[in-house]
Amino acid sequence: MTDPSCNLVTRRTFLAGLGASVMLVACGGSQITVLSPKNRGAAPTVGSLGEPTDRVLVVIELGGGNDGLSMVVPHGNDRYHDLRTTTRVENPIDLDGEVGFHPNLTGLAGMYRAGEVAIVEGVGIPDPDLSHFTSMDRWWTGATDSTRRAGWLGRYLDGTVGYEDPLAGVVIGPGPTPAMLGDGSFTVAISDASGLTPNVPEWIDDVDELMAMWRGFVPEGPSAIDLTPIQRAIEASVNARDELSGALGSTSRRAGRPGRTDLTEQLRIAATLIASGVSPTVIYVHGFGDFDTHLEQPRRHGELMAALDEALQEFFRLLDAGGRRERVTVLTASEFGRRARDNGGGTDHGTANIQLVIGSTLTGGRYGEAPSLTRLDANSNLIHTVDFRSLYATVLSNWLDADHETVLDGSYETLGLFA
Amino acid sequence: MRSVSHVYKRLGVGPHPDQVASAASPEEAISEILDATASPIDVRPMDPPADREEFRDPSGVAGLVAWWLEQMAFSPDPLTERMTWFWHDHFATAIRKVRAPYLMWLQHRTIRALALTPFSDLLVAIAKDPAMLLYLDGAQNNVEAVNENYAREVMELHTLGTGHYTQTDITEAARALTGWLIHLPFNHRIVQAAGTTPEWEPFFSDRRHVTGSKTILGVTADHDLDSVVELLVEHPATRHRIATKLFTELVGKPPTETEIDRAMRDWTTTDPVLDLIEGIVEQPAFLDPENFDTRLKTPVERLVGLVQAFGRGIPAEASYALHNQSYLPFNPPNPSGFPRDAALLGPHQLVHSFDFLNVIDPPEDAPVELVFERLGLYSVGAETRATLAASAPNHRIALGFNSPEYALT
Repeated sequence: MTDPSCNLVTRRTFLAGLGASVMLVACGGSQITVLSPKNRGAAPTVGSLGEPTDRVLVVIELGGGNDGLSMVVPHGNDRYHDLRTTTRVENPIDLDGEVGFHPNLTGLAGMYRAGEVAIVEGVGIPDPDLSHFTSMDRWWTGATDSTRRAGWLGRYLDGTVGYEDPLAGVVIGPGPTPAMLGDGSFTVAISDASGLTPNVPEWIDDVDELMAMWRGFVPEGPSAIDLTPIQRAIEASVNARDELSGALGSTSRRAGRPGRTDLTEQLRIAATLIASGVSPTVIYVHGFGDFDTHLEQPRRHGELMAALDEALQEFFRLLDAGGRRERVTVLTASEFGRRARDNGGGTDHGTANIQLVIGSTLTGGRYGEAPSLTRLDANSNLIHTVDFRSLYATVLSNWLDADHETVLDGSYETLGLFA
Repeated sequence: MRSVSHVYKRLGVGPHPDQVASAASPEEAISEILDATASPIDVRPMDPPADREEFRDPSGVAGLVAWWLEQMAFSPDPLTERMTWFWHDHFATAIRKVRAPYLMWLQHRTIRALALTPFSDLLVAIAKDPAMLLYLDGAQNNVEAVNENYAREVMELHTLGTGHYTQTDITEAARALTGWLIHLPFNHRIVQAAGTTPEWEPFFSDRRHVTGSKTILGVTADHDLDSVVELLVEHPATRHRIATKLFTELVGKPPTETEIDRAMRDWTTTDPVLDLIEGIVEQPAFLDPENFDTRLKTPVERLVGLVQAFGRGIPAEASYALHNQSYLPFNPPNPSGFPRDAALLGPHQLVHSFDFLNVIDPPEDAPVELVFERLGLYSVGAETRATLAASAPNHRIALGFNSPEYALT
């Protein structure tokens, strides 16, 4: 039984597209208000961005601000050696006499030589303010002001599958990410291979029955857009759980305490989902490392590079085993690079950075333009040469065949990686 | 009943159904809660550790978490519990980086003691707090290697908010904040430098401090930590931002300009926060049913409410279930605190809310109406009532607990 006023308010709120951040829903005598993402423009309608694709985009977030200069080291530049007196990376794996990968990135170096890695230099945010939170917000939303809450991938999902497929976007990490938050779509976040199976006590003797009853909170009849946000989330949870259990083989009750899932395990799960019938279009991997290396950078960053390399090698090995290598592109995202001059053991927040795009169908090499290490901005930071949205525009338009101008509210130059 | 429950939800954590039953009206509930702040509880004792250790899982803090959640669930002083959580979220500090549960406990003791006192007292205590000095690299910030981490977050997150300072203010403040260290007894170099400072306490090292003129927020002087904190405390943006954040937290919606002006009255950041809270709860918006159940419960509120309804204490499992939701106390995911709003509504969070059932004993047969009453659900939709009525008795609490109605506070 559904109170008709409930539907009315919900629908109006959703269709208005709106600047409102609060949605009032009066249902069954109780008043339910839920914060919803606010958006500058209306959400793209389902199907407006292009056809669904069988290609997959995997985004790996390097949270905290990855030091691009230690990942792809400009060892041929004398100025680098002056700036990095305590954090200089020794013995980089030379790629072309100018730059070289961190010595722990041996696998990636091999992929680069095979033409499967695009190094994009000088990627940054206009008017950077060096804040983790503001900068992450820019990267998550693909907007350079704070008026938009929906994520760039959330908008992509809004405009391709809507609420129809909660598993078109899967987050693998300690929780959801704002990058995948849409105005009219779901994403599912899983933290480990148990997928969406609850870890309930013994006295709940039948998890499947519990989940079936839980589904009863969602009224029959109305389509997803007419449900309250909580009802929609419950319905999506139950549906996604069934499908994920099939793909990950995680139907059994998970005993004990959840353990830590490292990047290698996260990418194993990604590879399993890609090979299975779930086949998400976008996979967002986060929670890997703390790249905010104000201190002890050489040791900490070196360990993170080793973990990244190991995880990527395992991921592509599994993709090969499933015959899916050609269907996948990996993109790194990190909120900023780090200060040009180190601080005596670490580096403070910076601006322009290096991001990697990895896949067997792109044309490997160096893209963008390396920022000058001599001509710095007023805060002694690198000056970006590539708008971060060009990276997004490239994968949206040239990999996912989606209209990037609608997702990003503007047209950005693509980088020609997939030419 | 619903309005009394609302008062306890917003000014406490949960709420405990027995506390709700004891107040005759929302006004009476408010005055009982405010009066109860006069007699603080004793803080759990803890022995200092032999060393710092890597954070791998919640086991190191599980005992502290259990103690804290038990206070949230059963303390006779709910407002101190609400505000201790509020400030932990505001001055977010994570064991993941601090690597010493003992230092998190010291910080917790500080926050708890100062939760309702002037904001200025709390800000200066946190600025010199050992866990914060480690978490935002203050203890590494020195004349040889100026580190901006704390300088930025104290302005952006703890006080002014973006738009009220420049990058130059941050760079200059970072220089002023140099020189602070902590007497960590297992670090021989620091033990020597600490002189007469007791173990685990912060101290100032002249040799590591940048002396000389700095210009911060338009004021040029030979600034140090105390003068930076004073500038931030006195800045009007701090007063407005703290009052607005607390109003939004307690009322469940952002204030209008009129509402915030009335709620702040003549409160300043050097007056007790309790005065500000009194100003906020006096606003008609606080008891306006329009603002009931407007927020999503956080995982901590969900779990504490479950224990209040059907549990006896907090077992160690609680920490693991909260960790799996990125909501482990003492371990916020980043310096801006714990996630809120739509981030709490993902399938991962909802499905794993069922994990919290591990913290209660197998229930006796619970009639549907009792489940609603214990969980504080006074306005239940038809689908929820029908679902619980049709469910197996041992699933009733689980379903009531993960119903759309219980998700809100």
